[in-house]
Amino acid sequence: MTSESVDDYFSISDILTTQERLPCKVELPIYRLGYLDSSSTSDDLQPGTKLDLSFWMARALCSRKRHIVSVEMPRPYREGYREILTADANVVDLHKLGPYYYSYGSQLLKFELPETADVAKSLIKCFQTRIRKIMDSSQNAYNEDTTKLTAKLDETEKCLFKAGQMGLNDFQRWETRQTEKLTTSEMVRSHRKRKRALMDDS
Amino acid sequence: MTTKLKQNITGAFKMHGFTLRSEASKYLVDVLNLINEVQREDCLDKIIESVQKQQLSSTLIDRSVCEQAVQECNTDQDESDDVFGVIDAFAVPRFTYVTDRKKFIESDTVGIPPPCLHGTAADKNRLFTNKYTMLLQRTQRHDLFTPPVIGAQMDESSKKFQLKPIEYLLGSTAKLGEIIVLGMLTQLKEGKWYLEDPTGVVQIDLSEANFQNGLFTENCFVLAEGWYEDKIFHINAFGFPPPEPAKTTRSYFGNINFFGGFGNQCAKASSKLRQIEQDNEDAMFVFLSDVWLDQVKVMEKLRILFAGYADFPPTCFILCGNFLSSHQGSQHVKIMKECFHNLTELICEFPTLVESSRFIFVPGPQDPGPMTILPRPPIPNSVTEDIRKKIPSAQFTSNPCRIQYCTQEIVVFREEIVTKMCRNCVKFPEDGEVPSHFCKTIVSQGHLCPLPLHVCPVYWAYDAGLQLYPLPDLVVCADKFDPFHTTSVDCTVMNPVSNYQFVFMNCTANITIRLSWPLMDLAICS
Amino acid sequence: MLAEKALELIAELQRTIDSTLGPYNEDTARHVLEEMKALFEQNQKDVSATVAGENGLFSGVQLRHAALERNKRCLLAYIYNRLQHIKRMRWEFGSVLPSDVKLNLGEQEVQWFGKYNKLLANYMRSIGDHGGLDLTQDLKPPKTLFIEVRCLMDHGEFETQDGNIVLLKKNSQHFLLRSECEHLIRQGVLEHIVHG
Repeated sequence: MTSESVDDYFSISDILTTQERLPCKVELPIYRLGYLDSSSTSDDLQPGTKLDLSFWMARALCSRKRHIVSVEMPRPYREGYREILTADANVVDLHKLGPYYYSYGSQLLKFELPETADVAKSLIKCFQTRIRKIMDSSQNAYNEDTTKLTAKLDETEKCLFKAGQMGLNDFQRWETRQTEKLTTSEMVRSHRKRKRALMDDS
Repeated sequence: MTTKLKQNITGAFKMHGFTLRSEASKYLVDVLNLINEVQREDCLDKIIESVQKQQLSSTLIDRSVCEQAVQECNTDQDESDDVFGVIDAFAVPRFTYVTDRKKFIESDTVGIPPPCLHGTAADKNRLFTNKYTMLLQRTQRHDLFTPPVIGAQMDESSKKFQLKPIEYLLGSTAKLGEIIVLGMLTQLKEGKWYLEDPTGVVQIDLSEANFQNGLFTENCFVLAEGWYEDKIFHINAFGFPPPEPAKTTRSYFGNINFFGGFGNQCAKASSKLRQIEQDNEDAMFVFLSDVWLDQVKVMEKLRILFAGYADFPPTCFILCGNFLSSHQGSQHVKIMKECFHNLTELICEFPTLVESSRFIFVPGPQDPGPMTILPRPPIPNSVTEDIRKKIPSAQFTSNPCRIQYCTQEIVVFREEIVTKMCRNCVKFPEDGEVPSHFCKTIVSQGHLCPLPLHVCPVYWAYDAGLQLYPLPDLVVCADKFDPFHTTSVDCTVMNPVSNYQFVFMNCTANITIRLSWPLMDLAICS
Repeated sequence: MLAEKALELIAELQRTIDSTLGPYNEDTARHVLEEMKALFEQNQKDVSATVAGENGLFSGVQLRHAALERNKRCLLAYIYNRLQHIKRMRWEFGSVLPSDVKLNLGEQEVQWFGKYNKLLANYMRSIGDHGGLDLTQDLKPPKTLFIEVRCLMDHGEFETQDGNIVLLKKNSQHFLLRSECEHLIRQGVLEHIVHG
């Protein structure tokens, strides 16, 4: 998963992932951009200032070549949380830790911080533990409310869950010979519904 | 043979996602059968293309749509009609600004009933809200009011303001300073001024007010800056909402045809029309106001005028009323008929003019017709039958009316508007530069007649005919006032001289008005 | 924060992507462009100052450049994803959009839809033999040549290929050629009845 690849350039979820913030420390003075730090009134960002920056900005200012700011791992990826995940990943609310926990985590690996290897390992381990349960629930929840099942999932997992559900539904429809029935297209249906709702309101 | 053709046609329409009704396909088969096989394919493509251009509500195509498309294809090359158009104020397209979509949408689509002369209360309401929403969206978009860009350097010159609704004032108990409000100036109680917007009314104190340029009349919309305390809004400065060049308006709303006339696209977007206009640089319009046909002197001068132009017929003569010098009581219509008859004979003496010039007649306040409510319908057909028969290019239109020539948009308005506005303004400008004040007022108001309805009544539902948004290229206000012409934000406002004097105007690609007086000697006649 | 307005556009997209398309947000888009202009001008100033010999401005330039690129990405993604949605509408609604959906499109988007429509039609006419191949048809493998349908709304007269005229009245049932009525089913005019 590289954010610079062409496929992801227009991807909405990738843009939202890279908007997540992480703690940074300014290493070189940045002139006339003091307004980025709302806690100070100075015109410039002085070395030593600590502030949270979005990933896309931090990435542009911190790489092998340039070191305008230094970055730290955001809290959900640090030692403490990693331990929780090792203990039992299944019960953790990943949505709360960050709606894009996996994809953001893999983006963070690019900074090559000392903990990188551990974070990578923890991400894979966590995913492996949780995928069983997600697959299981997505294949068995037929015709029921799934909001409870997906509440603790991160966005990537939600996509997987949705794919599983779609497969299940398609299979059921095939089994009951419903696939041959021609139906109104999805957009037309939702458009009608909205229109009817509007008419009911007025 | 026919069945194959039919399959061909339905197949082609189907690929474009259309279904033909049976009578439509029958019609198309008939049409295409007349064309030889080689060209048939091209023709079909053309028809489909023009079907797509129409405003369709369903994929089901019926005969009338096809007929229209075929007609359009036939008249494709012949666009001479589009070059010149006169748009009656009652036929002007009506648009409503929809805030959710940030777009102007045709009023019919939004569900506003078609206009009728004697409108309902809702029509009167819309008359004001339409003006307000139009000005509000225009003002909010102006540099002064757009929220500041972060990262931009803040300096004094680029200070930003924020518009507040009146609700905001009424809801506050503390003193508020430096408030800017867009509202309508009203006089709800004798001698007391109020500012009104859709959210409420607030009394204002004008004693300290500093007036910017313009004629501030009752019922015009103003930007008021000041401080609010104890239910009174103390005005520091009064100004008009900043005008917007038509170009900017179009960049926001695309090429919707606000002006009226041919097609869905506005004439400005047509490169073909622009080309015609550039090829025809000598096109000339002659505006005459108060053509008192019952005065011998006027007829004499008209003869000299027509004779002078006979060798170089101008594109158009625009004659504004009143067409009689005074009101003749019950004889009025009869005298007028005679006068028009005389005029017809006079014009017919110059066959070149009859052939290549157009004659547009705009009624004045005293010409036959209903009372002085705007827009005013054309002079009744019974009076003008003779002239229309003998001079086919003569056209009687409403007051105000719109004229489209190639890409130029012209609005003609015959009314004592400058005088009326001067009489009704809150504070008469001290410098006496009335023309520039007047021009600024109507351009910023985006309306020909920013006066209260009791001073200048308007058919509520037909107010669209008086609107100037986006701004036309030229507004001709035929008024008894001294002649003037001024230009602001690419819109020229001019007043030809009245009382049987004549003004000539050249109208070329970028509207250079030359108040030329080639017949000076006859101009000074009164 | 920089590029915040641009993110608003993306958030708006995400909210509406599964339902119908929201109105084209011209104001915000213009605001983003305005911000980009300001960023670019300041960068240009700083770069020329650096060329003139001033030091230490590089980090600011770098930061603003990142913000410029970010804004650009958000704007392009906004337009691109909307276009994808509009493209899908051609396949689901057919070549004529319901008027309220159409009003949500920007001027250029309407033009784009028209052009896409034409391209698709020309392509479909150029493939297959006699008269082309309608790709929007048979999205599901057909099982039978004729199907039974019920009208969900009044649609008026409908002429079948063999020249018969069928009156599609609400709640009436017909036995029609599948290829002819498939698009009407997709547009919600007819309902396919399967006896199972």
